[in-house]
Amino acid sequence: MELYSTTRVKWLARIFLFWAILIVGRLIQLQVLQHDDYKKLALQQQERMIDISAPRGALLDRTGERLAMSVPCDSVCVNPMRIPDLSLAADILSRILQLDYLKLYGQLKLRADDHQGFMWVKRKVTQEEADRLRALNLDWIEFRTESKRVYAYGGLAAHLLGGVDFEEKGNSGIEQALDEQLTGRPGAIRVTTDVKQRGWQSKLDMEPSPGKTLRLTVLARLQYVAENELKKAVETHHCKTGSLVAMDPKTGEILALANYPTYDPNLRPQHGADVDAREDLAVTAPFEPGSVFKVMTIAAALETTHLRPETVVSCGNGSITLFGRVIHDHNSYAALAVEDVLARSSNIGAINIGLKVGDANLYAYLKRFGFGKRTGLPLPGESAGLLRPLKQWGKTSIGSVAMGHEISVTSVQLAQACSVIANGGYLVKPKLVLGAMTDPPVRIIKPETAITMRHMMEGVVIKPYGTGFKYARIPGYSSGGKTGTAQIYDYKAHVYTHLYNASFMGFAPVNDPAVVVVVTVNGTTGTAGYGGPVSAPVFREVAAAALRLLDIPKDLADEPLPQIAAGNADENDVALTDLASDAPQPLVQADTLDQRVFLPASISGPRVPNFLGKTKREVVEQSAQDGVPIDFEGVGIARSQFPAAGSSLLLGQHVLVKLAR
Amino acid sequence: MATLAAILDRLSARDVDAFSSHAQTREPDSHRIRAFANEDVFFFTKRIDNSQIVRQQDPAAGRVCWGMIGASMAGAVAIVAVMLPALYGAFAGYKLEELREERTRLTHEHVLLELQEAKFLNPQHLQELADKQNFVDPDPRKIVYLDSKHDGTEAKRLTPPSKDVAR
Repeated sequence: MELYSTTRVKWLARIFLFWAILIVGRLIQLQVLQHDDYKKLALQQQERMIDISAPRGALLDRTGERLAMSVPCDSVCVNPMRIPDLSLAADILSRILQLDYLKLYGQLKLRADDHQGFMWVKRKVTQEEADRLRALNLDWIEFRTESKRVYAYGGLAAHLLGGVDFEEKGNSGIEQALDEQLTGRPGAIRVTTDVKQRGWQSKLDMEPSPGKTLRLTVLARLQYVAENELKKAVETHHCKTGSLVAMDPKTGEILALANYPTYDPNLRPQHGADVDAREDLAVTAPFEPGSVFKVMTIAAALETTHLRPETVVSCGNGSITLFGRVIHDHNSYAALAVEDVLARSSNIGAINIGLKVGDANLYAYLKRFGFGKRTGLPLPGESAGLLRPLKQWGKTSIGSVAMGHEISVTSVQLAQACSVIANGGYLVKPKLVLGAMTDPPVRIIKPETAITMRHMMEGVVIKPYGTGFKYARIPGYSSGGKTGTAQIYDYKAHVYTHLYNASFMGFAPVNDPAVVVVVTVNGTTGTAGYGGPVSAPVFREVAAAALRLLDIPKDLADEPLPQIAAGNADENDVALTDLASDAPQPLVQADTLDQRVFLPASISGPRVPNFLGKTKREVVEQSAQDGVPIDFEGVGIARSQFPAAGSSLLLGQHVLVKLAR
Repeated sequence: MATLAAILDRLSARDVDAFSSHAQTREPDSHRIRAFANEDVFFFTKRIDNSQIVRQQDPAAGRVCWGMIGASMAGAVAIVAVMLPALYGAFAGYKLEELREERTRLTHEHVLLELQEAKFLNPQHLQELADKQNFVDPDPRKIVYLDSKHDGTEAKRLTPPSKDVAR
């Protein structure tokens, strides 16, 4: 009996032992041998990776206004394996996300059949679409947060900013050129979740590295004015394209860079759409500058010859023969002072000046002014223009180059060159990003040359016969500049056409220029299509806006500009090689050489209001309202004033108000 | 319940007689209580008087008892103490995750508001608003730059008239 019981117990023990061995074996299999696999599966269920967005850096204007920024948006994805009814799912998704039902159903079915666990349904959906889908509360619809580039000002500065592709990688403009700085590196956080997928523990997996926000040198409001004025000019003169560059001559900061036509970078380019509107003409499209180039010729002459502004040079009565090539002027002059060669834009005068400078000197100075070399702006596809090496110059090239032919430049290069005149002789590299390091300024002409050139260019604007006289004067400010009208060369027919590049290159105020503006309108026709009537008014409006926005004090009396009879120099501006006028022109008399006129003295100023008894603030308000400049003495209430109330203020005269308590 | 043996006994008369005689000859027992019918199970009572028993004091058992209670309590407290931080950590984790999601949501909302602000400040938009309100650009003559100088002058140029050195 005892033996029997012991045997039974032993068997029971063996069974338990075997069962225990099985359990332990299974545990070893699960927890040791297949540890990694099951751990991976467990982590897949219990952990989820959440991306920490590292948005692409914003692009700001110089005042901090946001021109381009990345905003979060939802993208919709599904796991086709988890969808209970593919047909119903396709129906729901296609209705809300505006997708093709059959196509979506086909994709879902294909992936479900292939046991694929992920499918993008629609990326970067609108907020409304995302909200509608979320309201359905369907567990098989997943949302991923992505980022979308938005240009808050629409098409403003579109060429400058450029754009990004669907993956937010820059594909044009600054977005492309500075993509490395702007691109952020997203981080990731590992979140442990409970059975209800609620996170309760997280661990930073990868530190996010947001893109760098860049503050540009452009001024959004000036850019707006520039684009509007350029558009107006192009459309008014029935042209095709135009470009404009506004630049601070001392720092090289680009204040505005406009092109026409333009586009809205928020809209994806449609297949077959005209891509010309996306071309940054100011930077990538070189053109023959025409007469604006006489500035460089004369500056080189002042540096390398004994020519002075008042030196009279021959203008050959409107034609010159260079090694058998006859070049005609638009107007024939016997001789003109150098400054009037610039003011009247005499081609023959410029050629004669160029001949005095000589090929080598002119070439050297053009190189110094930065022509034939990229400015280094951070914009893709910048053109270096075309300045042929000296050894490739023909015998008559000096004549062509002196008046802006046989050379091609970009608007940005012209702005850079004009800045040399405006800032006192330094070549300052243009820049687009505030605080960016650029090459230090290099002196390329003597300061006295720059100052002389500034006053000669002022003559273009203020002399009654100056080509910019009626168009480029800015109320309250002195300004200088140079018009240019170059015939557009037809490369197919190998002839110059009667379409013009109408340009104006100027600065203001003259004594301490704060802004340089270069305007080019392409494809103008007729005398109304010259640089003066077409581009100079754009310069005037843009420069005036720039001076106002930059708080540059006025340097001229606030008087209405004199309406001087027309007939001056509308037609005096063409740097043409095949057009000429045979009309005889009188030799300019010596006493007319210095015709710099600021404002006619006959024009009276505003009436002086009565400031007596008013506080300083009231006086300021009253003077602002009446446009009367004020000088104060003392502190307190206005006790006396000069001139007396009711009298007319002379040009440039201030009212002296004495204050006392 | 009758046992199998009783049932078999009853089936044989001899056995039945014997059974009956045995039952009749047995001495009556005062402690025996009435049996169930047809059952061979008998119940007896026994009177026990514990009134004379005196509980003996056992201080060691008390100590052991209180020791057990104390140890259990200490164990419970220790377990709670060990688990409490983990539990608190779990709850804090939930809260932290909620806050992190809230921060992300607020950041996104902030960005969208910034975008909205930027769109409002679009010069084109401002121009349209100005046109609706019939605002016009000021006449240049009406603009006066105020920059008070120490000498009391106003509306005077901010920079020297000639500065020919590039910044």
